[in-house]
Amino acid sequence: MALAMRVAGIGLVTAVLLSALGQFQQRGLQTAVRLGAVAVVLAVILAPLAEVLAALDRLTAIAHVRGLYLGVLLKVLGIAYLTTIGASLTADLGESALAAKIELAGKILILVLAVPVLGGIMALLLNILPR
Amino acid sequence: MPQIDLILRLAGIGFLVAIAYEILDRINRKDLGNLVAVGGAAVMLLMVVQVLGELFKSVLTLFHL
Repeated sequence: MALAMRVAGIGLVTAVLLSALGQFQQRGLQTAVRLGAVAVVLAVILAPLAEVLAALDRLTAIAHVRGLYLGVLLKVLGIAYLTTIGASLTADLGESALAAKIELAGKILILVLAVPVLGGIMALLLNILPR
Repeated sequence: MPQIDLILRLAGIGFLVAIAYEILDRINRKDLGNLVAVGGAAVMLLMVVQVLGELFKSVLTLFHL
């Protein structure tokens, strides 16, 4: 609850400050404040995210899922998180073409991580199929 | 969270720089005003980049990247 209120408050205060700064014709100053607000909000929600990931770790240990697959899953999530942050910030600054390229880079990086898993599935299928 | 005052500090610097720019513009020193605006934006971006770097670093450790 406290965290939700804190995040909402940060957003409201930042919106008011940004609209006040908008009175002056200085886009660069507004941009810096906006970036700072995004960074602070993401830093606030990082601690709960760490708890969720630790719980996921425990669950996979109970279920005896191989650690390799959880590692790949976590890496994919991390890449998606980072590239989404970067792309949305870039889009906010009015550079939508650059934002699309950042998203594309994230997708390709995720694909690179997923290829070995796909290869494992294919090898398993070839083993199962009768020759 | 110690970082929440970062936004307030950034906004304060922004207001000061914008007002300085307006004053310098009024007294026909637009060259100085532009310098002040660019310098202020650079200082603010430096403050933001440090926090963003910490954030990205903690995301990297969180997801075992």
